Amino acid sequence: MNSDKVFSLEHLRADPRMVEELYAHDKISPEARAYALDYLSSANQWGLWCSRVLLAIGSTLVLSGLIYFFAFNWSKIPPLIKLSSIQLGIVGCLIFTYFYTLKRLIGQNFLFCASFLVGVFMAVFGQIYQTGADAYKLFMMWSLMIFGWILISNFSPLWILWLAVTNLFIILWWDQGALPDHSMKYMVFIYLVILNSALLSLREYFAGDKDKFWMQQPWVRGVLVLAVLIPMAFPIIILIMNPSSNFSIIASAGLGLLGHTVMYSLYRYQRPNIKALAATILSLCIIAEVLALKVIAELPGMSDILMFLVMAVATLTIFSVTAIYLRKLMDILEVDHA
Amino acid sequence: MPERLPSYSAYISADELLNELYGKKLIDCDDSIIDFLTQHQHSKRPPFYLNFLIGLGAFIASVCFISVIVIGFAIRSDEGFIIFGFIFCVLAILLQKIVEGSDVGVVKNSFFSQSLFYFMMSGKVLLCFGMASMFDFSWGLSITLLLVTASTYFLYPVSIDRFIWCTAFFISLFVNILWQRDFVGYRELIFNGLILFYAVSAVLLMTNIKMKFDYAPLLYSLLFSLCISVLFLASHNKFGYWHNEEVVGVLFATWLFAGCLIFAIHGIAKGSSKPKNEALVLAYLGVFLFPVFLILYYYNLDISLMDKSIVLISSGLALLAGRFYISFKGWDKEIFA
Repeated sequence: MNSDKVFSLEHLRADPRMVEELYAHDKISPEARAYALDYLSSANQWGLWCSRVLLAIGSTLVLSGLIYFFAFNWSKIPPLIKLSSIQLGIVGCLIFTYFYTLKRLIGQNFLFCASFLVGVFMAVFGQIYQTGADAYKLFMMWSLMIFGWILISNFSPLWILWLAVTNLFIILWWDQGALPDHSMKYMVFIYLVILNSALLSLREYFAGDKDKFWMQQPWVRGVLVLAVLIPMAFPIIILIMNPSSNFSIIASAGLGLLGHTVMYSLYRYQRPNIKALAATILSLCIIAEVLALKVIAELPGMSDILMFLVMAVATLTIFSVTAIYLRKLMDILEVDHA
Repeated sequence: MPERLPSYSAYISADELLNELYGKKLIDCDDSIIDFLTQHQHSKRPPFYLNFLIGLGAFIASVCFISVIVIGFAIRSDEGFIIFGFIFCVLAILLQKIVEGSDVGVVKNSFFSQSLFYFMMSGKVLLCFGMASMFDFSWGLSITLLLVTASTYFLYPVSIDRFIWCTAFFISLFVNILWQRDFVGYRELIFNGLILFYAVSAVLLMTNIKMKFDYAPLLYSLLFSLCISVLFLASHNKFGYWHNEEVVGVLFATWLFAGCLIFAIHGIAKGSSKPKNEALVLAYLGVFLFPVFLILYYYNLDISLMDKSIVLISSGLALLAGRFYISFKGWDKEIFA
């Protein structure tokens, strides 16, 4: 092709949509379109896809069947059999993990199943012995018991499972165990931010380590960024909707604002990433929008028509400025990477 | 070293693709293709997070602005809904033409387009509400949806709008047939005829190589409506009026879909490119809806928990056997990006 063009097509990824657009604008023939689509699709794309779908759905059906079996026979099964069958499942998964090793995906999946079954065991144990323990203790023990496995697993989904379990533990512990008074009610957001930020920091710290490629997958960062942003944004929005002098909500909201600033700085300058940056900016935009709507709704002497009109203008302004700024950042970060 | 998660396809640049096509003598050494791709690269659509941001803002702003108009003009009658719905639709179409023809930049273009989308949605809702009220019979909504959708399909060429309103029309047909009292006695025949019509139409659209982007939303709408019909019947297939309970059977639909599935698998196994390339998006829709169907189907099975567990485990083992067969044949060889 003509190499005199300034714009290089080497950095432009070919995809089926591009081919369809070329065909729709009569740039290529039907034969060229068919060949191009076939060229872009891996010969085994569908085979790989079918294999994964069958594995996922087949495993789910078998597990569901086992759950129904236990549900049907629950009252007839002695406690010893209940507990020992789950333990057998855990041991079996661990044996398969050892056999396939943690270097293979199937081995990691078995370790994931074993970790999940630990939670099932805790639930059945609590149900059989009716210890009266609070639910947070179940999640606490679950989190502690599988922590060693996740450290050696090199498997991102297992880390996310542990993160979810630990977050649930903290939320439930705060409500059932800590029993905070009104002034400390919202401190739980701070603890969640600290935990999830720690994990995100680890992820970013090892981002450049080639041996840790398993945690460098983009979706891991996405999940962790959301896990940090949500407990940071919530107290700010709560404070806006219900202003109060409650210490914990003010502290949580303050930490939230500080956290947003830190995340912006991190993903703008130190570890440039447009998606994480966009999530942070979107969170700030939503906070600004809530603040604007709250202020406008409470302005004295406004008719409904005027209120909605001012809200519309304020919304247009906030989101337009945000979108334009984000677009500029996209161009800047692309230039930096180039 | 732990294994990497494989990708479905390797990275292929536009340059590589064009060289491949040129090598096979399928295209000429033509700068117009490069110019076209260059132009589209610079005017490419915003990424999804930017679209989400713009869409959210456009939605809130449109709701506020439409509230101003509805409150300001005190719309209460059917004629009022129709008039304002018509005005909104016409304005959205005209302004969309102006925005498309202007050079306001990608972000502003996207913002205006999304705002006009909500205007058009609101206009159509007002129009359908007013007209359906005026018709005052059960098929009035279906007729209204057909008129509104057909009249704006090519005037307002936005894929999501076409998809939503085509789906609304197909679902309204489905609802009317299942709940229309006049169809007592031959409801199953009409319903299965509708299923067949949807399926044949979808197949015709899918296999027509000359199908342009214009008809893709219609195709997806047909298939989505089919899925909704099946999901609904998986959860509820008895319709009773005045103690005369009717059962709408799913046997015909089951045979039809099983046949399509077998045909598709056969085509894929033979290496046919057409199903691979054109149904990938639909495959993801199926992956999302299939678990919903399974949950509804097994939950509503009228058998004991013990029998359900046997059915579930047997089904799961059959699928796992299929997976291991594919692996044994080597059809799932992985490509690492």
